[in-house]
Amino acid sequence: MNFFHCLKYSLKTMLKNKLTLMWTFLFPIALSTFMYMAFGNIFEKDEIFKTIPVAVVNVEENKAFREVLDTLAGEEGGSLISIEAGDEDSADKMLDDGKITGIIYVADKPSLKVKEQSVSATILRTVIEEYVKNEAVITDVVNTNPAGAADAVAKLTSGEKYFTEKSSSHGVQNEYYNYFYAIFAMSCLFASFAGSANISKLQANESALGMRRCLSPQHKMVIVSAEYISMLFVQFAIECVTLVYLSIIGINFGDRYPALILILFVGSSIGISMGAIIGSFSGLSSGTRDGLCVAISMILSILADLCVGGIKNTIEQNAPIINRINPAALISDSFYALNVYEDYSRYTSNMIILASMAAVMLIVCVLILRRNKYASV
Amino acid sequence: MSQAVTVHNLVKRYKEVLALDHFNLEINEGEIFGLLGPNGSGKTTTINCILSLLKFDKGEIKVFGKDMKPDSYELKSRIGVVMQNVAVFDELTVYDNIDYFCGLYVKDKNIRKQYVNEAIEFVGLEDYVRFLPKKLSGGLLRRLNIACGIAHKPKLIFFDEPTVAVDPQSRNKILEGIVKLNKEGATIIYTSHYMEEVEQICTRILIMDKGRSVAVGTKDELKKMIKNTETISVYVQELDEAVLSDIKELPHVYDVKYASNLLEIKYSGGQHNLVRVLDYFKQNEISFGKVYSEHPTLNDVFLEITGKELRD
Amino acid sequence: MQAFKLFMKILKSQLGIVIMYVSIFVILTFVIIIPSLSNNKSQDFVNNKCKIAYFDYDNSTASKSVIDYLCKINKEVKLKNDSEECIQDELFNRTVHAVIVFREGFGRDFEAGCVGDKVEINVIKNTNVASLVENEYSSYITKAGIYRDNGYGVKGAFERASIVSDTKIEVAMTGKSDNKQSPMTIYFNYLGWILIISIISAVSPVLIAMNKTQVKERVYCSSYKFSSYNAEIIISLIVVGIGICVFFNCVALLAIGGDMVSIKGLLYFANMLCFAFVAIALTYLISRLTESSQVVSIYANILSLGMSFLCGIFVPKEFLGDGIIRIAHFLPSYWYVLAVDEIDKYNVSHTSTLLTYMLIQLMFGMAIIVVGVYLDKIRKNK
Repeated sequence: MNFFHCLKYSLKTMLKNKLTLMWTFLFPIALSTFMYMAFGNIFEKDEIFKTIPVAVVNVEENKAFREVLDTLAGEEGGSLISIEAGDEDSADKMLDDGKITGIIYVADKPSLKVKEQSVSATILRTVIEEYVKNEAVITDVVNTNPAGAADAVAKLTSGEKYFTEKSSSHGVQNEYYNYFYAIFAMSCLFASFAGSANISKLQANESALGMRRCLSPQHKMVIVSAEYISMLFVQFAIECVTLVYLSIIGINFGDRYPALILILFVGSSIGISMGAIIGSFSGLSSGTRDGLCVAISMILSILADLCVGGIKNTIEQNAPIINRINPAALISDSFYALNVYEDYSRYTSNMIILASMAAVMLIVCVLILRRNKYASV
Repeated sequence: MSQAVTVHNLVKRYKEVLALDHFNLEINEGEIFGLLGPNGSGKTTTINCILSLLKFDKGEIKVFGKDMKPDSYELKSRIGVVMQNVAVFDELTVYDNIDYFCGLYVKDKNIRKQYVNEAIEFVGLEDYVRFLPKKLSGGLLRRLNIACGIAHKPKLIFFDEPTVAVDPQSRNKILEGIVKLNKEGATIIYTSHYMEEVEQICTRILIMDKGRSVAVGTKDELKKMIKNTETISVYVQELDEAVLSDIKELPHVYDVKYASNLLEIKYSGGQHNLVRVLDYFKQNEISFGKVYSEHPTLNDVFLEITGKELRD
Repeated sequence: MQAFKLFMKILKSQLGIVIMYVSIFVILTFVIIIPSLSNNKSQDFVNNKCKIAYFDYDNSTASKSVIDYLCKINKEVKLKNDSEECIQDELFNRTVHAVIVFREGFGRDFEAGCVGDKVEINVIKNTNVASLVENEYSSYITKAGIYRDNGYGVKGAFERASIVSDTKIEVAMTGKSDNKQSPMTIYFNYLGWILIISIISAVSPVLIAMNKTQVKERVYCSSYKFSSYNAEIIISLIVVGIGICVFFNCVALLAIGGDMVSIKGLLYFANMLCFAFVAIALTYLISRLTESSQVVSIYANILSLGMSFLCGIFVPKEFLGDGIIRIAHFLPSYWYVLAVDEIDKYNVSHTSTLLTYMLIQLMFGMAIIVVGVYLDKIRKNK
């Protein structure tokens, strides 16, 4: 019964700190909004295939090549290129202004002019080179076995694939989702602030209030558990609201909601536990404690791709053990695993590691607090 | 009489400063025990060591005959503490604060409710139950601090300078309340550097200085430890040396001072000393103004034993 | 200069915390920058090469020829294994753009003329790089097939297909051939994030200590002029800001070396000073808004990360939408980044543009300080 008594008042005091509560709620939402605004376009702009705008300039007569270009431009349901009308001067201007990716020069030996290297420029180059190569193949066949020329032409234009395309996952393959996963990780770890502040308030050398609570006959485990659960409740609510918000603005986390919610729960636990351990060391000033919370949360989140992508992967290649013990990487990886894999094995192992770490940290915290005697209060 | 607290040979060092120097203390159950001493004498350090909040370097401490440790929950349930600094939640109302702390000791909801209401009545905060601490004056805040410490009706209560910066009305209420608690069966340990308070309510007093016990006993026993039993002060203009010599010869006089028209005569023992002095003035036709007869205070005890004032 | 002296005394007592924050952010700078040097988004297609990996369980002439050809025109990446999990992870992280697996029987199928199900190309569907690699493969195998059907034999077919496939066309480029940013530019670009968060985090504890309500009330009651008090605090912040900038510049000198001792290095430093002024202005403003260090940290992160994402620090400007760029004009980080880019391709004729960008940053700083002073005045009059 005392546990519920402690829990009730712990929640009351926490919910009365309106300013801190508000900003803790707004933090992941604001951050993910900015990220969404920044990334909104990238996957579409950069990676998804789009029709490439070009200009065509006739330098010499090459009917066959021109026909190929017209065919490519005229394909229904997503053509490779679209041809903008104009002469050579207007083509140069369009290229400079970025309205077209390249200028294709129709000649006996076709050539290409582009502004800068890009995927689209590479595709254009490839298309033209393909024409030239095909021409060479047909020439060879005509010279060695004229009867086979028609068949060769048919094969070159058939578009047959000769391979099996595999895509491992039906999940969202947008690599920028890593950043959003990292936001959840960071906001979970930022709960260490609350963990550290609330647990240090139980220290007799922090304040008169801490002293009074130390002197009560309440088992430390009961008081700490009550504090912990109330912090967990608040932090978990914040994470759930963020999840709903991101889902509304269009970030697709999949539909395995119970599993997603479990990540948020366990993630919040680990953040609070981290803070609790920091708060249980009686020798630290509040500035040092806050500094440690910021430092640890930021470093771990950045190692999980918060600001720049690729770091987590580099670590995975060179020192994967770090990713197995970095809570931010584990949280991020759990989201990823739920997104792309059908089975739960990777997700489950991440959850077990996180939950174990949280439990161990909490137990260590209680043991430290129980035995605390101070050199000076 | 069984002992509530025993401290034997306690030594506590803060780096180079020796806060407690082989300090000894025995407090009987049912006493209001005063711990008196100037600032920095070690009163709060003693309390914190007894409560097992502070590590100490040497010595032995027992509460109700048992060793006191951070996880001595059974002992803790019988102790109440009213700290020097106000120890309440800024976010909770007066009622919620008392209820929370009482709830750490009392599990039964109904009993707790009763205790909380009694505590509020005890400290006179009935009109302020819905107030937040930041809305209370210093005196009222101290009363809240007390309520939080005693609501659960402990058997041993520590009051650590509870009347610092408190208005006279609140102070009187606090002192009356402490006496009432003692009458209801609690052993009280009261620390202060205000000797008037200690003299007023404490049954036994220990005077300490520089981490050591200087004197211990009831206030009468302490006063008997010093030479002075009475000081008579008389305002007289222009006294010559002959008169002063005569006064020095009066029975039981051991010291005479005259400065700024004030004659101070210190007596060691004797009765009717005032009558003798007044007779002498009458016989020698010496006119005088106001006359005071004072018995020694604890400050006098402290001064005589240590050579300095209690209030430094 | 009582307020100035007080600030410095408190700073001295909190020096450990200041050093801790600044050191952490220096380390984080390098944690971020080092991968960025090789992971530059605009460099993804250096020499137009995709990143491919392969697993050959067939070991035939056919499979080896295909592998040789594809690896010649792309960049080969080695993977740990060909498990689904490994392939999925590497594709997702863009370590590799395509993973080609040749199953046993590929060569046999080729000889029989029915290649298809013994070769798998793992890609992320519907992306540019996926179609690029698939087309390269299809083109090559089709040509080899045609030569095989026309009397060249298997080995001869692949040899001839390789020769034909080496054909290149003339490609003229009007723009910069190399989009690569110098290490100096990358460093100062990320400094746009680091400066804000490190200055706010490191200096806020000092301001919080000075802003405690009872202490502030004492100051208000004194005869010390309100304007002098605030002016001295701002001067103290400027001094500390300059100190932190000098520190980051020394780090740059150590890491980048001689390149920093140049006109460009000097311009980067000047630009950094202007932006540091914005950072200290933000620190000043935040200290007027809250006394809680947790809330300060939240403000610091939202401001620094938010501006970094929207203004082209973490996401290159060319990938930001037009609407975002318009919003970014109202954020000081944007002008900092523009100045960094301007210095990167510095030309004496662009000096006035550069100075304009720096001036805009200073004006942002001034405006933020004015808001902070105004809030302080309201608090005082309350």
